[in-house]
Amino acid sequence: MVTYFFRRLLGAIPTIFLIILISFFLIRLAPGGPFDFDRTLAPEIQANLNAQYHLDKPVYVQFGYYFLDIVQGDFGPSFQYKNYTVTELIVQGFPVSLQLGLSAMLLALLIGVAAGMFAAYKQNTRLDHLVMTLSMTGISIPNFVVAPLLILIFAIGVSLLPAGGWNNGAIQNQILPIITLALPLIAYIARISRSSMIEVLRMPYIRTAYSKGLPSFYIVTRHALKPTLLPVISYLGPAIAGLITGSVVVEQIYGIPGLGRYFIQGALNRDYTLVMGVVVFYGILIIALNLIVDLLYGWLDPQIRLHGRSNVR
Amino acid sequence: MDNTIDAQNVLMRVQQLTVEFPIQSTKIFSLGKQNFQALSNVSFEIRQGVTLGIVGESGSGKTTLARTLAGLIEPTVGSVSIAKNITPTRDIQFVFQDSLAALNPRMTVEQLILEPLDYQLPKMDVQQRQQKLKQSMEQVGLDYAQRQRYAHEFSGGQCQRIGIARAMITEPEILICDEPVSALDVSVRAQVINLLKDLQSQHGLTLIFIAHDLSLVRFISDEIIVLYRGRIVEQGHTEQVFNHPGHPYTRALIEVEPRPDPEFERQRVPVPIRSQNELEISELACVYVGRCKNRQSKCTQRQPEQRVLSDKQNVACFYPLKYPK
Repeated sequence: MVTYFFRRLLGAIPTIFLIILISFFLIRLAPGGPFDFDRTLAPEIQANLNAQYHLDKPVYVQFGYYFLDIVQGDFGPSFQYKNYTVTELIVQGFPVSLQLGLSAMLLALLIGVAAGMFAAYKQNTRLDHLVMTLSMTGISIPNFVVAPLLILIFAIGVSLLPAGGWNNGAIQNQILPIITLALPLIAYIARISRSSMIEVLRMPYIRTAYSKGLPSFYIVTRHALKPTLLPVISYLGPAIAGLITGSVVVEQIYGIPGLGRYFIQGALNRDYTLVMGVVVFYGILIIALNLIVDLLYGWLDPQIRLHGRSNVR
Repeated sequence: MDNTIDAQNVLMRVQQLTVEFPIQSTKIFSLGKQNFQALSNVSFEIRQGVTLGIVGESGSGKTTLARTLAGLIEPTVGSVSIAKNITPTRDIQFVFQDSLAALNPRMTVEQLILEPLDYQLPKMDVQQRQQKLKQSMEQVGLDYAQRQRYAHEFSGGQCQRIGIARAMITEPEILICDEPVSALDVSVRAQVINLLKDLQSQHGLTLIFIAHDLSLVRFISDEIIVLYRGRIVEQGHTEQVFNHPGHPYTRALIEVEPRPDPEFERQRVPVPIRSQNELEISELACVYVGRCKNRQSKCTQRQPEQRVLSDKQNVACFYPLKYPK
C-alpha cells in the first residue's frame, strides 16, 4: 500500500511537468501581454516592466526562469494584483471555492446515490422513469443556463435568496451556487448508481442474502451499497475536474471571490503567473484527489486491493 | 407462505402450485402480456426427516420449484403451507449451485456465516458467536483459523462448505439444495454429499435435493419427484420409481444415464429429444406427448391427472408402464 502510494506520487511528476510546459506556452500564444493598457505607456517604462519580469527574453528562457521558481514552490508575483503574490491569491480564493465544491460534491453524492438506488430498486416503474427523466434534464441543461434561471426564480421571483455576492460565506449566499454546481453531478451520479445497482441486485450473492431471511432494506444497505458505489467512486475523479471547471463559470455568474474568478480575470488580463499558478495548483489537486479515489477502491473491494503487481490473471 | 399445517410429521405442503413469469415481448405493439408457465399445478407433501429428490432435465422447473419453496419466488396460483412450528426465514435455508458467486465477495467467511445471526439473534454476545462460528466451521470441515479470509481465497468445494455452514447456522428444519455439487469435481462431490448426509442424521434435517445426476439422487433421497416442463409426471419412493418407472419420461431419464459398461453403451438406442411437431400439439394435450413412444389418441386431447400406481408411487400418465410380477 505504502509503496503503491509513493509510486503513484513519482508517476505524478511527469504529468505535472507536462501541465506546466503546455499551459506556459499556450498562454503566451494568446495575443497581447500583461502590460498592454488602453493608454500607451512610454516605451522606456514598457521596456523596464518587460525587463523586470524577464518578458524581453526569448520564451524558452522565460520558461527556464519560471520553472526554477516553481520547483522551489514559488508561483511568482501577480502581474495585475500589485503587491500580491500568486500564492497569496490562491490562499485567499481557494477556501471559498473548496467550500462550494465540497458542499456540492456531498450534496450530489447524497441525493444522486439515493435517487439512483431508489430508481434501481423500483426498476421499470413510473417512479424509475420519473427519476431518469429528471436526471437526463439535469445533464442536458448547462450551468450558465441553470444559474440565471435559479436567480430569476429564487432571487427575483420570490426574493428568498440573494442573487449573488459572497457576504463572508453566509449560508443563504451559498445555496444557489451549490445547487447550480451540484445539479449535473446529481444527475450523472443518479444514472451511474442506478445501472450499477441494477447489476448488483442480479448477483447470486444478493439472492443468498434474501435466502438468509434478511429484509430488503438491510440487503440493499449492507450487501448492495458498497459494490454499487464502485463505479460512482471511479466517476469522482472526472467529477472533481468537472466541479472545478464548473466553479469557474458559477463563481463568475454569482460574483463569488473564489479561485475560479481570479482564473477568469487572470486569463482576460494576460496575468501569466496567476493563470499558470491556478492551472498548476488545480492540476496537482486533481492528481491528488484521483489518487485518493484509487485508494478508496481497495477499501470498497478487497478483490482489487493493491498489493503491487499481481501474478494472478 | 402460511403456517397452517397441524398434521403430524408433515413439514410442508404444496398445493396446486403454478408459477408464471412474464415474457418480454419483442414486438413494439403487442396485445396483452404473455406469460411463461414454469410450474403448473404442482402438489406434494414433505415429511419430517425425509430427503426429497427433485429430478428433471434443464428447464423442467426444478430451480423454480426450489426457490418457490424457499420463498424467493411468489407463487402465481396455489400455495405453499408450512408446519405451525416453522419460521420460514430461520427454518428454511438454501444451498446454491454456484457456490462462489453465492457468497458476497466483500465479506469474510466469519461475516458470511454469522450474518443470519446478526439479524435474527442480535443480542448474542461475542464469545457465544465465536463459539458458534468455530463449531459450525469445524462441522463442515473448514479451518476456524481461516475465518478472516474472503470467499475468493477458497476452492470450489470449500466455498460450498461455507455455503452449507452459513445455511446451518440458524439450525434450520429444512435445507433446500439446488444442484449443490454439480459445479464440483467428482471426489469433492462425494465429500459434500456425505457432509450433507451427516448433517441430516445429526440434526434430523429434512433435505430437498435437486440434481440432474440421477445416480446421486438415487443415492441420497428417500422420495423423488420427476418434473417435465413444469409438471410432476411421477413421484414416489426412490427405489420403487427407479426399479419400476411408471412414466415413459422417467424411464427415458433413467436410460440416458451413462453406465460404466462399454458393451451396453455400444448398443444403446438413442432416446428421442424434443420433437419438432411438439409445438403444433394442442395446449390441452399431455406435456410429454410429443416425445412419447406409447402415445394414443387420448393423450393428445387432455392432460392426464396424477393417479396412484401403488402406495409408493403416483404417475401422471394414461398408460403407465407395466412390469411382470
